[in-house]
Amino acid sequence: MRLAGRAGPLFSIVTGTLYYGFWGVVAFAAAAFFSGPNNQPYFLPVLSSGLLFVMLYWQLAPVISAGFGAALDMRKLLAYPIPHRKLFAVELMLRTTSSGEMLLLLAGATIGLLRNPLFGWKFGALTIFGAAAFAITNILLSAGIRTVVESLFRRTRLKEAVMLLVALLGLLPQLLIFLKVRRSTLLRFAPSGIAWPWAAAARLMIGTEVAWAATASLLYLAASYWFGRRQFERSLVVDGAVTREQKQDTRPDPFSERLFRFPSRVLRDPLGALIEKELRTLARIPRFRMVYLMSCVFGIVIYLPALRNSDRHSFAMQAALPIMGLYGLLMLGPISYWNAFGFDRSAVQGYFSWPIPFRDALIGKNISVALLLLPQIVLVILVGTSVRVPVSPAKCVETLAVILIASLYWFSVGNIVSVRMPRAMDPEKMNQAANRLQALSIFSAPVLLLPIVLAYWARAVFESGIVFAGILVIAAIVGMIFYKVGLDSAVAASAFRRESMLMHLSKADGPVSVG
Amino acid sequence: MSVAPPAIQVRDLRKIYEGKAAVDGLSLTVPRGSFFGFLGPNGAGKSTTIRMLTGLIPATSGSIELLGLRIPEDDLAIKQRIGLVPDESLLFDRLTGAEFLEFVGRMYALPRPLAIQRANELLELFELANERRKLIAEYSKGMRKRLAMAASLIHKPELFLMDEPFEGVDAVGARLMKDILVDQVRHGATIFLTSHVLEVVERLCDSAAIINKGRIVAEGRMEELRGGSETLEDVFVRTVGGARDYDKLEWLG
Repeated sequence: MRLAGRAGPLFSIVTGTLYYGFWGVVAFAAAAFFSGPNNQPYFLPVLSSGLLFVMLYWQLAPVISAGFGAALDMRKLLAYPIPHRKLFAVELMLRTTSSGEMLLLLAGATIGLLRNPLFGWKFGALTIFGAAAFAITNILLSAGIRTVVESLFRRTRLKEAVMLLVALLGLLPQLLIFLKVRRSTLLRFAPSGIAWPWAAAARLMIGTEVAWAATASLLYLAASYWFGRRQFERSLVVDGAVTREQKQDTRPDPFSERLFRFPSRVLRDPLGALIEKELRTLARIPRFRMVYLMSCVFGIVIYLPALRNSDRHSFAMQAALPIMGLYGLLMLGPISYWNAFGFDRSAVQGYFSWPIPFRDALIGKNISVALLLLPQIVLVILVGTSVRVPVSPAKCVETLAVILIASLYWFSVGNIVSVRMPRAMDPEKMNQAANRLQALSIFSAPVLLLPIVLAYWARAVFESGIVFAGILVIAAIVGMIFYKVGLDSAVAASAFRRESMLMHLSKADGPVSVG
Repeated sequence: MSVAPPAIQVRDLRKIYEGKAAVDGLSLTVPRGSFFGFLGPNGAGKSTTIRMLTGLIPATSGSIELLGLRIPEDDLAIKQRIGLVPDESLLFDRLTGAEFLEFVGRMYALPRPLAIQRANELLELFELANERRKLIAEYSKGMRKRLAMAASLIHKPELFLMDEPFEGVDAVGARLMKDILVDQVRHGATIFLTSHVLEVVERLCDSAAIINKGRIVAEGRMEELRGGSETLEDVFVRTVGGARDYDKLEWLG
């Protein structure tokens, strides 16, 4: 019991250390680079590009990962006599929680420049001013973007498509490479031109063209303040009750109704009913729909450029379909199998109150996610056929098998995490940080995917499809055992952690919801 | 001739949180077919007791028997025979009222056609038929309570455990719910409910118990509890100690 009680903080410490440890190392590398006098000729292009990355990450990562960190819920605060400017100040402080890692990176570069004997402390004030102005600009901008994104979330599905496009902006570099845009064209819009906010900040930080850089930085600061404040004020006049509960069309359309009912035709209740309920529920959660859309598209968009110069027989080509599919599975984790009861919130008590084994609830949730992977796989195969990725019936079976086997391993750990560290998720909001669970997904991948990696390695070494299939079969058997052990462990934990689960999942957001 | 065991039999029930007893040696017998009110001030241990009765949380010690079956040994068999209206929402907000009732029916092993039929009839009964296609997220608090009660009825349970079932329900809705509950008792069901509205308990229940600081401080049939000319509210305030010294807050005067 004591160990169980410590699992939550321990989990936070491990994932936090892994996540921020990674960014700490990057920040340390930045500090080392900018403190070296010999690197001085590269400072402007490197710092400009670095700050461009920081800005893109700062503004788009929360959209892509559907996690905006901590946030103020205005509906709960408007009743109190608090001036708007004070609320806005709190909102800005909370915005720093969405991209703390970028502050770390910026601090690394700043410390490096301050330690550089070429610049030293005489430029210190400029360096700090440039970095601070850039950070504040980003904070203000992200406050505005959060409001815009959340208002889009409350609206129709068409707006979700617009959101997806916004998220796809983050993948612009990959798209440019894939589209083979000419270098000269790209250079015309190079990120070191002083008109860009990151380039102006870079110049200020290294003390060149100070007057122009300061003017540009201050203009960007003012513009982002105007944008952030305006969006904030707009969010105050939005009638939460009306927007939040905008009627969703629930009239049964025959096609989706048939899809929702399908599991009940194949599986007996309670499993059939549980899956049907799960699919209906997830399909109506804006946050899930958004991430699901991204999970279908991002794997393809990120991986395709890597295939540009690959030979048809290379590993990258041969394993393209499973890799793109696995990315989708990875992306769905934080809002599904890593926190399976997050959207159920207090209704989770139903699984303990109705006469069904808790095991069925978990299996039902896992099968639902597995079913949602099928359209992803079909999309990956369709895109594969249209670009010159090798696609054959055998490849399709291989893709399906690899993703299902990987699911066994991820679901197994996910079930344990879902029971031991549940966390209520608001279907309307994007303010719960998914970063740590995303980090856990990524860092656990090398271990959990080891059997599959082994199968591909064996195929490459022995050049034998039979060996490959044999190892995949073994991976599947081990996966099933692993899944059963994980499921048993989660079910056993649910018996004595029931109370804690209910407590965590019934938590209503206060005025500040933690990220 | 064998006598049917009581609907609820609790002996020396305890729930300790970090060394402090939320429920402290509670013993209680609720006969079958009774309408039992379980009263107490905030934090007295009412919800904790109901949660232990439903198996949602384990007891630290003591024994619980519902309908002659023991918790946790006969967990699934008991759940099949009880209807629950908890204080926290047990509703899936992203289902419609009709979908939710059908789903709950199927959780109690009703065949789908029967679950759909009963769901429709319950929606009619609870005056929610016009809202059947609305997501539960769009329901008002009163509508949610009515739906929760409808869900607790779908498998025709023998014992109802209800935590503040009338909270947030308008007068018309509350009247409807009360009539249904009285009718259930008339047909042999047992109802165990908590409520802050003492008039409701006084009017509906044939027996009641008052819990304070985890212990039963008064118990019996309604007329016994009231004694002579006292109301249930008088008994409640007297037993749990409700006097407040407002004079100390001069600024409120």
